[in-house]
Amino acid sequence: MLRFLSIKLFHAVMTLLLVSIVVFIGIRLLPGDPAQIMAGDNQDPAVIAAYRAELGLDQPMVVQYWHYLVDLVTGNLGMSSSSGRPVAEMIAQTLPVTVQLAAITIVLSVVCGLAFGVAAAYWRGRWPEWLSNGISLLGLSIPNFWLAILAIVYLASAISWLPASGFVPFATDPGGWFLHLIMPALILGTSLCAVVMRQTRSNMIEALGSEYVLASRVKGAGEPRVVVVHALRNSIIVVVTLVGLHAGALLSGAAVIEQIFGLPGVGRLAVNSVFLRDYAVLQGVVMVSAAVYVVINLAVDLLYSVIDPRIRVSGRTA
Amino acid sequence: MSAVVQQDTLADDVHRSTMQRALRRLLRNRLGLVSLVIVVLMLIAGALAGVIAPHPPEATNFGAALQRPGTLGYLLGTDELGRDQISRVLHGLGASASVAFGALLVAFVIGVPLGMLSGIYRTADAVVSRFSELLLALPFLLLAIGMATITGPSLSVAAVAIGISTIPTIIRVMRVETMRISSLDFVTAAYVQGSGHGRVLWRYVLPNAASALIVQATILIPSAIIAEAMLSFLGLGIQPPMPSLGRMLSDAQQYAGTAPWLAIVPGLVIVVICICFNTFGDALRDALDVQSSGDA
Repeated sequence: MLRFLSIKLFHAVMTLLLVSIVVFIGIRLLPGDPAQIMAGDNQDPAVIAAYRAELGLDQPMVVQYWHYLVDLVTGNLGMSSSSGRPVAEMIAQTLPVTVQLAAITIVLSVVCGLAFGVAAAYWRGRWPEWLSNGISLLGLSIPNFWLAILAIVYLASAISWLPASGFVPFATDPGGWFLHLIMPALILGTSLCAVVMRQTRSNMIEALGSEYVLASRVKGAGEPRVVVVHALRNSIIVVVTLVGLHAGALLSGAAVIEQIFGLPGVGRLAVNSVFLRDYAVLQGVVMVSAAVYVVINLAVDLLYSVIDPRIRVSGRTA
Repeated sequence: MSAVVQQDTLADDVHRSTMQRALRRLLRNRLGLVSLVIVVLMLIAGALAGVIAPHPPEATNFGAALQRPGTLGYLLGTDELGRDQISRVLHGLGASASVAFGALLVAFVIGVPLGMLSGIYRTADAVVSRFSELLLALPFLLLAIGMATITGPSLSVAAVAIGISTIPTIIRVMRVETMRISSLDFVTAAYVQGSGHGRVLWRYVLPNAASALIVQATILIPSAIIAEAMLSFLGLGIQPPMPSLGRMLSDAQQYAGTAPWLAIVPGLVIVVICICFNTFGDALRDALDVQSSGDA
């Protein structure tokens, strides 16, 4: 168990280091020489050289990277050029909104996907299977931002108590918080829900036909117990994997959904920073999202070893 | 030498008859075939947009702005600048499809060799896994945003960004296929007859992994089309005045109340082509009897 976790932790740190190298190189590739830009109208070579020394750009690349890394580790993500505030502070303000949105999305789509997936497998060839297949096909084929536009125009105008955009913190008004997040979360979750549904259906079909399920039926277990306790339990681990794999896509999707629904999340911050040419914010968001992704997948690995003891022993994931 | 040739023809025969069986199964699947026909027709329409579109996509006609679908000369109506919607949709479809296929090309060219390497060599596997994890840790949208910041947004940047974020999926599929195929008896026989890794990969692994890769492609194309629309929607993909489905949706937002067709038509086009691709992909998966790879 300890060995398994330490290997995973080592891999996570490696991934973050690689991401930091990519981001560092990306910053160097940006058009425009920062020293020249800082010098402004005074394009005297001596002035530019002074700025370059001040920014540390005259030092070898490795040294520059080291400084960048030390800054990252100490939580210094630089200053935003558009707002003049520390990037870390701006991310700390917006990240919770995205995390809350993502959490509701994951819960909704996993519950929905499991329910429909199990129903499709249990009532094979009957209407629950057709319904479930239809929903998952639509979920994979409808761009969620299109659904968002339609929902705002038609749904939110028809249902007066459903807010079309904006965000209310949970602490101020829990009900309003939920109402503001429910529609974005439902729409953001369509593809994850579809994937979970499909995977659960095929796993459950396999599980329901297996000998251990037959054995539990023979021993007189009731149908709910057979389906939920025996068959479904083995499908859960795949769903956990899917959520981990989907975390990145969820972060990308959240940016568009936040944009449309006016949620002050980190995705919206990233998209806006492109148009403001605020590179410091952008690279900060990339680093933080990579860290979030890595942490989610560490949690997934941890969950694996809790759910499936075989992984704990062998130290390998499926 | 003759033994090797014999083995090759044998493998070819087995391969061909499997393909024939798969084709027969596919031809029996009505829904799959209908989807394939619609996909092909839509792709042709998109590719020939320059010829069949009734108007140039950028041509404005302020006298006929925001016309309803069915208006004479403007079958699907016009937008706020009086541009013909059907012409814009056709051109947008062509652009979306080219980004999707370009992305797939990028992903296959890099992902397939890496997947084969990591399926054969343990040391390569460790390195390729780290590379995959790096790509997975960079959300596709941020990757696209970063690339667009460096080079400026464009069609090819969108294709490359979507392609790069698809690489881990291709690596995973190819790695599993390589491990599966290279443990089969006929591959062992080829090794015994003196074939090296290179020959085995090229002659046996790649052809036998083709089904899995093709099925994967039919799943990845619709998600690439949606990803492109998302980038263009945010203004990071195809740049105006070139029409794109995502851009049309983003422009339509402010007219969604008064001119709903502007939001509905481009969205429906994306949905229809994606549904058909996914349905055909399912039919193909059943026909070729490929195991699901765990995620879509």
